[in-house]
Amino acid sequence: VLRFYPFAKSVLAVFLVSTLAGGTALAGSKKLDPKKSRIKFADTIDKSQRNLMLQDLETLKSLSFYDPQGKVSALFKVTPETNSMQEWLYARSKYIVPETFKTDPSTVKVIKEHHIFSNPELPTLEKGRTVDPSANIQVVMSNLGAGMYLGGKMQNAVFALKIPGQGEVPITSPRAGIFQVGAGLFQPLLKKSGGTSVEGLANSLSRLSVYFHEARHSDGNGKSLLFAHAVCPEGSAYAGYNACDKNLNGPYTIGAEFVGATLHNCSSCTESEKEALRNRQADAYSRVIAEFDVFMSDSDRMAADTITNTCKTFIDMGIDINQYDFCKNLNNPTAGTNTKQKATAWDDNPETAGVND
Amino acid sequence: MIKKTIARSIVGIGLITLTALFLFNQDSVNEAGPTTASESLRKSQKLMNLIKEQTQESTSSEKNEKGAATPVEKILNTEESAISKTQFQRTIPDSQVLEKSQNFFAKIPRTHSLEGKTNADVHDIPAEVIEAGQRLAEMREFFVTNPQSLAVETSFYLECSQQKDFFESIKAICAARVSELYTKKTGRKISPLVFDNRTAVLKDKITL
Repeated sequence: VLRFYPFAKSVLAVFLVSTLAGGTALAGSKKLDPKKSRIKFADTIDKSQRNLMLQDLETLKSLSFYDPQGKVSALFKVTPETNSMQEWLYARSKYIVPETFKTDPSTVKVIKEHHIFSNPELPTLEKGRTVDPSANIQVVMSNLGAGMYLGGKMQNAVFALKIPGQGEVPITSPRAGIFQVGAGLFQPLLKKSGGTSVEGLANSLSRLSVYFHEARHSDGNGKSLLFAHAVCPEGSAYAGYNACDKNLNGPYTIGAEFVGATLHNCSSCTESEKEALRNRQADAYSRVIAEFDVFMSDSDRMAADTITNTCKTFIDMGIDINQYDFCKNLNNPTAGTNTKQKATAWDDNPETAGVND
Repeated sequence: MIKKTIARSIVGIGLITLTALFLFNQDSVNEAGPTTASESLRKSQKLMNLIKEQTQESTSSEKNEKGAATPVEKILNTEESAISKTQFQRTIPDSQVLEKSQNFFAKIPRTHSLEGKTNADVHDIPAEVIEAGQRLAEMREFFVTNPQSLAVETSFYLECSQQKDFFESIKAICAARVSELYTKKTGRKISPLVFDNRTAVLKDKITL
């Protein structure tokens, strides 16, 4: 069992979602019955964290999704109704284990060795900056099941994971749906301005966007298996980090679209909370590498003002534009160039190991 | 009297830009080494002098109405000036906008704050980007609860959208606000050339 462990561990690091320092205060949550939840929790999970996640799933039941252009329904392949979006998440998310859960011989079992997977192709795992072992890492959320599936596939093995209180869960597809959560997930979006509570709707939406992001790692087959992230290109604030997507339907797009679809109808969110959610949305979009190869469609370019007119308007408004470069060269009155989109949507159908559960 | 109030308020618009410029210079000083308290005090005094000079200059411009049209006069001649007049009469003092703006540009985390991070640190939105978003959220709350003229808001968000070392998400939200305000004023779409390529693309994806 031990021989796969270091390997599986390195694969898991690819899907580790963020680290944040600092503690989290969780208080005043409404108590919900975990036995009634479709997502099952390890016995060892922090009760206040579990309660918050149960509340998030309750919140999801009552959300309405805004999708005027049909982007959300095309991306998720469901009509953006509450029930459909819940089902999308539940199809990919089944168990939650705590940050303290270890994948070692006491929790991992090999249920089949020398297994030939029906789809032998593997995804490309790009290596970004390495994790400093001395760093103070605090897990937000990681898709443990998907990582274990890939780790097994890379060694022609199929694993099962023993989850405290839930028994042995075979990992026969990337949809095993086992997630590890840490204190970082429960950090509030806004720490000041009267303190947005971790139980509030805005923070719940923020966490739900992480659940949807992570759930996307449960998809794909062969080359697209797990929708593995890519190293961010030069020009990005995250250049050199394995924190971007090279497709148009990966985890970052899923998370961003979820925020966009729910933000519009968040009538109980304050302006601050909405702006903080927009920041999360924009940050996720900024990690989709392909998006920056596309500038504007011809129709959009024709509809926009020329740079000359725009600069004149700023002057009319009394804005000092002398310090900005964009008004210094007005000889090129048309908008930028168009280039073809390089990336596409990946195949999101999940593969299976081809063994009986 | 109204005209004077408007003029003073418009000076505030310029001051946001000036403050920003001052702060950028200050940033480059900070990069070279820590700023002492006396240095900060001297710079604050320098900023106050700049504000004073700017105020005096604008007041005299207002009096000299025979020369070429100043930005102030241009605004007074636009349709928006009718809105500005009423807004500026009941609006907060300029110093509050200035202070908020100054605070924002001085304290917002910038891209260099990610140096030394690991893959895991930046996989989800990093704490530094969350903090930057929080500071922008505070400005948004301020503008909503203390309505300013289109020019004041546009000036702030334009300055924000042009910062080369701001996080892309922050620049994009600011660019989206500039675009929204521009369309509100003109009824037309802003030229995308105002923003860098990545910001221009990202701004259109944000749900305002």
